[in-house]
Amino acid sequence: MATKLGGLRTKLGSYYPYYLIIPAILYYIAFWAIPAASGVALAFQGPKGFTLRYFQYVIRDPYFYQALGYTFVFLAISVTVEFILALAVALLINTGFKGASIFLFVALIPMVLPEISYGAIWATGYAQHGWLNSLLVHVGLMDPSQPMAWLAYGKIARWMALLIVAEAWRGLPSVMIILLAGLQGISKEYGEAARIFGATGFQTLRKITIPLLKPSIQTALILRAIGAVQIFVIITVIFGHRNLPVLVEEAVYYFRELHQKQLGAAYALIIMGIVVTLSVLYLWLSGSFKGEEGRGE
Amino acid sequence: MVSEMALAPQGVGVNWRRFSGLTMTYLAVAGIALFILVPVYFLFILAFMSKAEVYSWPLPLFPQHFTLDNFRFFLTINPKIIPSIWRSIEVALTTILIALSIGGLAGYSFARFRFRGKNALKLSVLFVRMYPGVAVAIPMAVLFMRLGLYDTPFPIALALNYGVGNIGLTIWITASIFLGINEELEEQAMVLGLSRMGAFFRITLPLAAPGLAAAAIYTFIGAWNEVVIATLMTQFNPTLAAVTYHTVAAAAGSLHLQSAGGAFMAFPALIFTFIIKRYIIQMWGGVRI
Repeated sequence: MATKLGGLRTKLGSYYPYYLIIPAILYYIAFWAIPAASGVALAFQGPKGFTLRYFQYVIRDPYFYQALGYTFVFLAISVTVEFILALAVALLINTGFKGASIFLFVALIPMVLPEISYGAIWATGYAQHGWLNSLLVHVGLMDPSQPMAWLAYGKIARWMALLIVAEAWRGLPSVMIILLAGLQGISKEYGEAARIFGATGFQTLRKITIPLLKPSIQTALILRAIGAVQIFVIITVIFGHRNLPVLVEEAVYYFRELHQKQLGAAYALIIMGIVVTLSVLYLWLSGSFKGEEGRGE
Repeated sequence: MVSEMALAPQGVGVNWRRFSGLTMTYLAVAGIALFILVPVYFLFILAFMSKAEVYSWPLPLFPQHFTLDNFRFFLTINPKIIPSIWRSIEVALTTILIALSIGGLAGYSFARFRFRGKNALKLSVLFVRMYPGVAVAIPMAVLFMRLGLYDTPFPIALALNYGVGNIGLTIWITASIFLGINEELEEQAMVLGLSRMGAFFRITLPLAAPGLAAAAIYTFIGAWNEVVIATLMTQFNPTLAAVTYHTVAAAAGSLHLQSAGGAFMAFPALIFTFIIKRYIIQMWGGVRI
């Protein structure tokens, strides 16, 4: 019986896995690889063959430098802020408490809310007579005769701070869950051993917890950075179109509003370059390039 | 627990330390929960408040007059909105069909077989999933314009685009589901005379059904929520997300309209998330995507 089954499995085993994967591969080729490749062609193809004119246009556009600058300033600050806050919360929660599963559902809410709901929440929050100012009045932190004009035009630094708060609201839970999963995988014995040898809490954190948590930290940071590079919807909902330009907004603007397909494609390629660099960095750091890992996960 | 007790030099000191640690934990949990929930609370109460209350200052913390007027206003402000709801559902269901059939097959293969090129394939799945949406959506829209399939009443291009990311996600989810189902059950069924197909459909699939349903729901939420690609790939036949985005972004200061649009979009996402919360947490904790 065993030999019969073994024979069956090796015989089928050589073809079956491929039959089952072929549909996915064909689908990827048709609806991912071909569009992705034609996107590269679109950005480099002028009426008379190869051209760099669309990229020349992009690098002469003052909006491009603004968009690039704002995107990266946002990325650097928001990922740092979210990471530090999320690590602090994850360390506190990891000690274990009653009601953890309800708390995790609450933490999921910002992650799974549609981006429009997320935008609506903060647009109504930052409005001069919106809920944030009302809340501040109710708790006595604001004089009702002088509500703060959070969105006063052109205050870019303040806008950036508002954006980072809103984005922390959305991103913090997901970073926290990734770090929490990592923390739960670290044996408690390490911490106890460190304590026996007289390490302080901070030393344990620096020398033991954070090094062991490195894979989760890398995952969380790079996934958030990839998300941050593509920030767009929330900005336009809160601040309006092109008042705080970012890269994806420029791509959408040229493609959809101006019907400049090639310029849209050029911007998309620039975003692609940044995201692919981050992705490859992630895959390399996480050891995904290292050979066969055997079956499944 | 036991080892901690054994290590403790003096019971009293440890108890106090544990107590203060626990208090800190609960304070942090309560603080974060408030930070997350207060904004959501205001979105929903604004959406259900009477217009007089929405524009009173300061806003009441507990509204007195509940009404559906804001939703009625949102649903009728643009004649595209009602048809776009059905369109969103159609697109989401098509995406589920694509993702579960194609991604499920591949996920089964990943879970059950060892074969050459498996690691490269897994890597490509991850890579494709990380690839930025705009960089595929823009050229795909151009290709479909040439085929005359851009912005059709049923946005097939959009569903096909959503399929790409969701096939990847479904491969990862279904692979972990199938891995959790003992292969010997299938082998025994095959010994008793079922074909591999028969064993799959009569043994494995029913066992995997709850997990597959969770994958389908997760796909639905993703397609329902998605804005950027929907904006790029539709014009006169938008999904609800695309048309609501334009409505909400153009309504700065109209708190009743913005909150009604945001809340209307949020309901299905929240309800479905509640149903499959266990799976989502597992996915974020266990599967790195």
